Amino acid sequence: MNFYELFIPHATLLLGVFIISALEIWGEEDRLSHQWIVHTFVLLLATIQQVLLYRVPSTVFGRGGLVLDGVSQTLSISILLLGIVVQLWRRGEYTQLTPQANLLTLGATLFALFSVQSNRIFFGILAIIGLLWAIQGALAAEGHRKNQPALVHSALVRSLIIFLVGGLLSLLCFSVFTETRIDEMQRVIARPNLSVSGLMSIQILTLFLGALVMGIPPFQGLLGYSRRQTSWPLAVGATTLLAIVGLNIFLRWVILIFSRPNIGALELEALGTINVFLDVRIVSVVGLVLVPLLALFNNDLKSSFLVFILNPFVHALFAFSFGQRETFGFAMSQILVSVFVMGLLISAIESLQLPPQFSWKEWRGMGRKDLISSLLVIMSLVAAAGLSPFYGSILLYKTLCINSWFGLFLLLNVALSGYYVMRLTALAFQKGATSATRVRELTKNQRLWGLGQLALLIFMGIFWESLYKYGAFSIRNFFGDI
Amino acid sequence: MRIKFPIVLIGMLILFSASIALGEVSRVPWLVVCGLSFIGIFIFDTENAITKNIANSTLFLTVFGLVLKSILEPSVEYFWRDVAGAVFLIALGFEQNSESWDGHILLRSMLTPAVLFFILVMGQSLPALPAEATLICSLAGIFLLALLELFSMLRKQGDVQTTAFMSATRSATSSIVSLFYCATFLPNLIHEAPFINIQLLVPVMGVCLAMLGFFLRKSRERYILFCSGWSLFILWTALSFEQNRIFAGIGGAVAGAWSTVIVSRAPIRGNDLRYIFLKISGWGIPGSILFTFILLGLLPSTNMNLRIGSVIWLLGFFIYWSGLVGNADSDRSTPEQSWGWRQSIALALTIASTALLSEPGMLARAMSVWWGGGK
Repeated sequence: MNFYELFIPHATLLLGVFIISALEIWGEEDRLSHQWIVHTFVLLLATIQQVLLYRVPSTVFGRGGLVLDGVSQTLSISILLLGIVVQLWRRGEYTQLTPQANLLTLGATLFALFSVQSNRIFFGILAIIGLLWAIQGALAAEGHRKNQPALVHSALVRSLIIFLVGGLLSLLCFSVFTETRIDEMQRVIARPNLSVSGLMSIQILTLFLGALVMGIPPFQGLLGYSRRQTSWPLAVGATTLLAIVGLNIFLRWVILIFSRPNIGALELEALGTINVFLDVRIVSVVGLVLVPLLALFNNDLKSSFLVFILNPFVHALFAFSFGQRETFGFAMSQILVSVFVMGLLISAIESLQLPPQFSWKEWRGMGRKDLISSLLVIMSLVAAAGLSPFYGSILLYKTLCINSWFGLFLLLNVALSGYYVMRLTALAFQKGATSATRVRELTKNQRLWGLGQLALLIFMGIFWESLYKYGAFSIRNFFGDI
Repeated sequence: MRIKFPIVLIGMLILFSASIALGEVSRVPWLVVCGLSFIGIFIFDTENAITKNIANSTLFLTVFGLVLKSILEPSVEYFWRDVAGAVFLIALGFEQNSESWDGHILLRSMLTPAVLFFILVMGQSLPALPAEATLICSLAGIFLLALLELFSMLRKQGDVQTTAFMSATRSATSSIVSLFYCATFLPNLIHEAPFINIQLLVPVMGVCLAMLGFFLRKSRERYILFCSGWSLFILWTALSFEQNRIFAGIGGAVAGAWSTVIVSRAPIRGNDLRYIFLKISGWGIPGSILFTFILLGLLPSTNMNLRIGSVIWLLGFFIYWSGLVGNADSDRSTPEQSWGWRQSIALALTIASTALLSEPGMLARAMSVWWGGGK
């Protein structure tokens, strides 16, 4: 494979940005619809191109510090699929089709691709900053005009923090490894004369950065308040996008560098003085406890949902933290499945036409107003909670099978998430439906589309073997099978 | 409605045929029992609740598919995972089909036992747990499934019964799961003390449910207790480890699901004796299909636990039947139903089934030939 081929999806997305810009400058009255079509088309094309690139099991390095292996491929496909889902459902928004939001969401997808495919930590930091600016800009563009300066300012401050942390991390990597290339760092780390304090500092910074980008509580994510102002698809999409990028940091910048395959290549062993797996596990345990708790205590339903949708990603991170081959494979597939879960959630919420600000009180009795859409919202959150018959349950089962007392935290997460879903369901069918929302009758096609997505998710949960094989194939480079 | 009926039926037949085609030979009889139970529920759904909306149809088909898949699973862990999915969907179905309610969520939501069931299933996978604890988790899960509907009885206004098809689906799932689990995956630990005493514990629980029914006014509430008790009765036959009793339990599982769905909320029209007989046949009165399986399930045994258990069960059923006297209340909010072909088939079946009692060993012989080495 020619390594320039790695850039084909990126080039397609970039071309889309140019075409949308050109349509904005020279377009006719109908330019917004044309922009939407172009946006959707380039996302579909880039996804197909990305899928077609997955033809080699070995790692391919490209110029500019890009890498294509199973992990970056799976994450890239997840990002592109998420982009399509968000784009399809932004069609019906009341603040939809603003050209700035179009351009910036496409740009965010492009930067997210770069950040998960980057083989250099410094370039990865730059891509994350770009992603943050683009997504904050899109959120600001869809929000109220009077809040836009505050949101843009917030984005600048947050990106500055990322830049400072990332810059420090890059400097430390240079000082310890004389390199920020991940594969080179992985090779160098086996040497005995490396600075222990330097390595520890790098680990702490990468863990902090991963948790910050992913938005694991107590960090509230890099997007903060701006998500509450904007449409549901963009808010859910932006949260999921950062969760995927954050997981990539944990996987590639933390686990890949500071571990190596053990004898037999069935699990990874930590390199260096600090057990990196224990660190990641502690971070994920905090997430396992706090994600459902914060979701439960949040009075605003949108903020609550935006916290709770991190649950499948925290499950995946917890599974990664054991460094075992089997759970690693399941967790990789979980990321891909989570995108479909978010797709179902977004489409159900859009069918219900929930306003940007929505409380638990207003949710009461919603199931009596619109049964199908409410059920779809509930089922998507059931899937996020990892309950059976969805795919998440098989990951939970496999992770619990590992002999570790940390498994009790996972059971606690299941109990709390179960209570969250129970509360959501019970309230949806309780008395006291408010008239705060007007519910439109779903068309037959919309019902079929929603139920089709649900059937697909259940199908993935029941017939999980193929998905697992895909995940297991994706992580081969971690276990030295190249 | 007319279009939905054949669509759902075709969907069920496709799922059933696919499971038969993919399943091992040893699992085929179980698949047939499952198919008979669910297809029967669908056909005898006189309220047309399954085809009322697309949510109910999808839910029913998914539960059917999950129960079939659980029977096909090679290992106990995956079996429980599929069952947990079915239980969750059943609980969700109860919620969506119930009347609007109010009050404390944790105690009154049907999802509480479903989530507890899932935690028990997941808890079994902890490697640190001893075999005894794993068995306790499994048995607790089966009990939760049998007693699932009791949670809705804690609601204030007595919104106890949603639609008959949900109760029947729960009953069928519970019976099939307990029978299949006991016949296929149950560890030998069950034969040792203190677990062997479960053969006495289950009938005692059944009698407790029957006695609880004495304090309830509404016959619908008492019928929920009867259905839960029936699920426990099937579990007891499965735990008897005697072939004839297990076969009676298998027959009772199918008949129980059908009877539950045929006993609708609709009031009895006038003094139509057919209606009255059909309604009370769901309580297992003499002359009904359930009564036949009660007698076959309480066959004499050399095992002392089973003998005592049989007596306790008989006592429990008498308590239920005595509560029937002078109680014919129904949900007046439900429109009266006209006598149709479904009721005719049900009536014919329940009367014809009494013929089984003329030769009690016939059913056991027929089923043992059919089961062959598959059990």
